[in-house]
Amino acid sequence: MKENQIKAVHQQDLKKLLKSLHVYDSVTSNTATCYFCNATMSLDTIAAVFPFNDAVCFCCDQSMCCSAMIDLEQEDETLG
Amino acid sequence: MDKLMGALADFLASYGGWGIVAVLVILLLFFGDRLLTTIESFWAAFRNISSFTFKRYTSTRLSNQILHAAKVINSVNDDLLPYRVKVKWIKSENIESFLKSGQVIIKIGDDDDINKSFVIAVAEFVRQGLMHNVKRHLRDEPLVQAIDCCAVNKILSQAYIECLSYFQKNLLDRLLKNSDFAKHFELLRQIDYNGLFLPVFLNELTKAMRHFHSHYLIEDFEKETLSFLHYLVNFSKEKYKKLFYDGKYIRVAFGLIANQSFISRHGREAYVEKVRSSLSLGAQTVYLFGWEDKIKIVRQVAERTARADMRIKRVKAHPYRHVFEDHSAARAICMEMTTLDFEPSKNKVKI
Repeated sequence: MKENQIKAVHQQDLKKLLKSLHVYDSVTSNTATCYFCNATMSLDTIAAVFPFNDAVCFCCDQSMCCSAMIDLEQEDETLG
Repeated sequence: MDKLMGALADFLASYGGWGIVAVLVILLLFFGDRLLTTIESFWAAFRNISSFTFKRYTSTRLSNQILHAAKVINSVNDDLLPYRVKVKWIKSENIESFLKSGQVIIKIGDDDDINKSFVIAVAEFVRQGLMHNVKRHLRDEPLVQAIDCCAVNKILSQAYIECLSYFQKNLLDRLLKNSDFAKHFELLRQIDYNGLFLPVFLNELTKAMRHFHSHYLIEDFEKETLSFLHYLVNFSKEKYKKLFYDGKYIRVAFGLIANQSFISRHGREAYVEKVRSSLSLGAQTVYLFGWEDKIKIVRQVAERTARADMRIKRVKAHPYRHVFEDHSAARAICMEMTTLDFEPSKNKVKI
């Protein structure tokens, strides 16, 4: 049976994940922003973390941004 | 019931642990889906106790919902979507491998996030898995997006209807502002109302690419994909339909069993001959459609044709709901009869 994988992080493990990606400090110091709307990110407003252009990027929990993130993935796959 | 319980007790007493294993295997084989739902219910009762139980609940729920929905899509063609999705819970990640992976990590918190998280998870699942071997030959980005969104729409409407309005209101509406996307999505939706999106359009694209090695880009495949899509749109709209699509990669014919007076006058054999004649003209697959009281006749015609014609390697039934222009719906069926080889060991007729 074929299998596909979706990666998820629980809210309680988010801090540990961000530290392993070396971006925890930028989130807690309010310098990290949403890639799409530039809103300041916090541990509560992060909806997803994704790699783009060799950087760790964030998507906030606004629907427009989630939608834009899915678009971005489509673009990346088409051009790649 | 008492006798059954008594027999079960005797069986377990005789075979002990192996008896329990045998019973569990039988339960899994015959009631696998319900067992998974039971497992989900079990974790649901304990989901708020700890993050471990919440993760188990969320993983099971997501997997079950997508499994159920993907069954609908994969019942058409095994190659359309990976059959099972696994949620991998991440606590930490090596930054180099994260940057190379290109994969999104979705944050899931409490139940309030479930709808949004589920929609993003399904969209990611479809993006990664739907017809990967086909999409790599399509450079029209709005077309690929529209295909994915139509598939997500279908999965959500089958599995988790609460998420559907979230998806349509928050994600789809934004994408529809792009005119190219909107144009493609509208065409796909039109053919979906006529039962042509899943069992015909996606199915034929997947079948066409099955025989090609994935390393090489097939330049003219995108042109044929668009041509086939427009053909199907015209097929669903026009009263006097062109019943044959003769492309380089896709060659299909269609039949519609609807005219009662024709059936009464000429019988089912006339339709059998029409199908055989389409195959002789070069069709690789013939699709026969019928609604409501004609469904049985469509199945009978397909069965008879498969018996009469050795060229047909596989027959498959695709039930669906046909949506008319006035938005009324009817039970319908699309019978697929194909001359294309799949696995030689499989039975010829599957009705």
